[in-house]
Amino acid sequence: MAENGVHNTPEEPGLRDAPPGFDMPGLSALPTVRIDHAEPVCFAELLQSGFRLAVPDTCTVEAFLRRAMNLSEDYVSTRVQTVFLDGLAVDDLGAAQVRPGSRLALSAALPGLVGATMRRSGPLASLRQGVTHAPEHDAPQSGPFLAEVRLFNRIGEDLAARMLGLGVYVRAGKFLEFLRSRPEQFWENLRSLTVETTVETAMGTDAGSHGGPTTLHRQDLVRDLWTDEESLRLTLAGSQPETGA
Amino acid sequence: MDTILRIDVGAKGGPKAVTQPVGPYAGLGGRAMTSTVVCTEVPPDCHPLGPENKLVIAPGLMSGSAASTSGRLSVGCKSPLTGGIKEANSGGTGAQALGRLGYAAVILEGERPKGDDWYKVVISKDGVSIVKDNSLRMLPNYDLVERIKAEHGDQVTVISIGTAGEMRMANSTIAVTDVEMRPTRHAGRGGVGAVMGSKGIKCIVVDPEGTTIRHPANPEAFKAANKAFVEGLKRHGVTGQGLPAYGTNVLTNILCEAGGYPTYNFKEGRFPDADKISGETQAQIEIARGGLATHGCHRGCAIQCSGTFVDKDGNFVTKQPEYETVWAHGGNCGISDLDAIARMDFLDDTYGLDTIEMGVTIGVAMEAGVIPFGDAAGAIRLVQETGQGTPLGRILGAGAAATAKCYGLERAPVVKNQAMPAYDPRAVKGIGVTYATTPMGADHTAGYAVATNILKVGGFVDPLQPGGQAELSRNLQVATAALDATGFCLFVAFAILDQADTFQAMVDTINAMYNLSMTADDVVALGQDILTKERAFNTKAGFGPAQDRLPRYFSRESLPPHNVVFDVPEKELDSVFAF
Ligand code: SF4
Repeated sequence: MAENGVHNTPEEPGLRDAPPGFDMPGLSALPTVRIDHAEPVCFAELLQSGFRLAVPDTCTVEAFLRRAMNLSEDYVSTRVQTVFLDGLAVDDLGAAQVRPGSRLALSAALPGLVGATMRRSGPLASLRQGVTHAPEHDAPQSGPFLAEVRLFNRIGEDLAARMLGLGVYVRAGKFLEFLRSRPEQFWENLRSLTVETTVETAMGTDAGSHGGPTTLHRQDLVRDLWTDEESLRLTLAGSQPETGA
Repeated sequence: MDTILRIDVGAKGGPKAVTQPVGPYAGLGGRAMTSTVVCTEVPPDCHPLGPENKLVIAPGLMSGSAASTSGRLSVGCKSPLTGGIKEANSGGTGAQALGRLGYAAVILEGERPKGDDWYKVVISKDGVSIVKDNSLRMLPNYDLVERIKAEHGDQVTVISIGTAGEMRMANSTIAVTDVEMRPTRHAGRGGVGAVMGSKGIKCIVVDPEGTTIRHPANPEAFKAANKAFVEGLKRHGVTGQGLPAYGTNVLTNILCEAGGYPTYNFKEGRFPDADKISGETQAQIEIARGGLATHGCHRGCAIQCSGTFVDKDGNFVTKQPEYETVWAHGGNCGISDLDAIARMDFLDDTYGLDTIEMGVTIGVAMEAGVIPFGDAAGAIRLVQETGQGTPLGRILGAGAAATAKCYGLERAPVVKNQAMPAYDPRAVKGIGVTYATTPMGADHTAGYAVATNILKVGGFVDPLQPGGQAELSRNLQVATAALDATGFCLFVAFAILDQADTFQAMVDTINAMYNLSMTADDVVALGQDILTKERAFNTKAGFGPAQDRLPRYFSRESLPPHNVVFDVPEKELDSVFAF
């Protein structure tokens, strides 16, 4: 396994039906922000407050981690020690379903009695009966949707670049707040932020019909670029995820 | 560590120090020592601020040796906050310094003479001196330490009370200086500072100069066991990576996710601005500003969960605030400004206030309408009023329960009058069992050690079976009490939970230090013995099953987002101490 948890063998059977970077039809009209940064790990701080990832269909947490996030089995079993689905601690990743409206949070092992209590199938799991996810099976299929994901501590650091590479959706308000609170060092390491706006026409999508990619500068942040609730697609410069199922 | 230092503050002509052999207390350290002395020598029905109460300061069994992460100091007495027995635990350099000087305990006892004189105790290899020094009166801890530094240099430890302890507030700590000689570490809970204040002792200066590290009985075995122990701590994900990188505040995000993060005085279980005050954000701010995200509270800590918080210009503000502090002054009060929280952490440290009790008290005051939730400047002002002893500050300094009483509120999140820490017992019910039943009052550290299944106390507990919370809480409390006796930091518990070889290495270190052949069973017996004594003290002090309960509203008012209540049956609570 690669140190950052990414599969070394993306062609492994079972992964091709949901290629990493799956993107939902209908979302291509959203502005895409391409990030070229020397240290993409610093976006982990943004990813802790939640982002959305496109999924082709309802699936187990295990399938979500392995396919939608493209994490290796080893990484999931050793590093992803604490998993919450809709605010409930998950013990069995194969018996919890990610469905439309789901909120998933991933963390490494945590300190403290409560940290240990929250751990997957840890010896203290019975101390959290009130907030344990009940195993479930056979959720009805839903078609493509956006699942909300939060990455905490080491997991965020490990996977920040990876998730941006896949393309994540965030609220514009959160993203701008994140940019506005960045220290000097962040800007020194930022090579470029470009915004692509795509319009959907009767003939299909038309990238850059508003005049092509525009570069976002630090001084632009004082302006009202988007409304807070608007969604943006964030990705790394150079990433070209596939569109459609 | 074969000597006990007794300071009789009521002796004719002023406080007198007497050293005596450890005698019947031989082999005891940390909480085992403090609780045994309190149970033996303090009448349970005495007033906590009266002459019959005693303050016992004891390094852990391993403190002062080369054993890794073993510098914890226990402070025991009858608590002015709870009215029961108290052991408050602190990091810093005090335990190592006292251990190296050979003291198994320092006991402050007797009746303070009439008047308002304050004394400084100086302990060194040359003996003990006690000096009247009224110029120290009402000095906050940071100012006090600067004065001591000018006189005694920067290689000593200062164990002191701030203004809160002098005013004998039920919320008052005993501060212990860290490796930078800052008063950042505190025996925080239960108002132990007030007991030191009631004895008229402002500070104890411990000078270890000229002493050496304590030598193990079996050096070769000790070296090997300690090496394996450190290797185990470094190898584990929590002690080797999570804690050093983010500190304890790494818990903010996950407790919010679980809906168990008490918000707005325990009304909700999720704080919407958690990401602004999380450990992840805090670590980034510390690093970007040139502070430190990884730092030890004493030399020889292999985990280093602490750090240094600096302001935007790089000036020291306080040590890295702990999870409980960030929660108490942050989410619990609807405050999401880390700079304001760090400022309150500093004020708590310098006045000698417990951050949990203070934050929960401010939450109660906010509910009472004294200031609105989210008012960071107002919250800072309330801490200042407390430290300065204004009329409002005197009420707040009496703790969350007293403040709720003064303002006519039911909603005081306390057990045995002590404020609950940062985990809502409705969401994490097993913690609620420990809050309710520990002899210490609502305390998250009471059931902290997580060596349950390794110790096999009460058999292996299947984690996924319902029930068993009382059993687990009992086992955890037993293991914690034992660990508190050793001087090892409770954070080693994670490595010893997951890695049987690390647990064995820890036991081997103790055995090699004392030439013992202790087994896991002996560790369990030690923990049970401590708890049995503490429970007996509390029973004689008037505690019964009615005090082993959470406030009723935790069973009545549900907690969003999961809308859960605390519903562990009373029968189960009463079965916790069935050993
Ligand atoms: S882990 Fe933290 S609290 Fe424990 S001894 Fe080390 S620095 Fe102190």
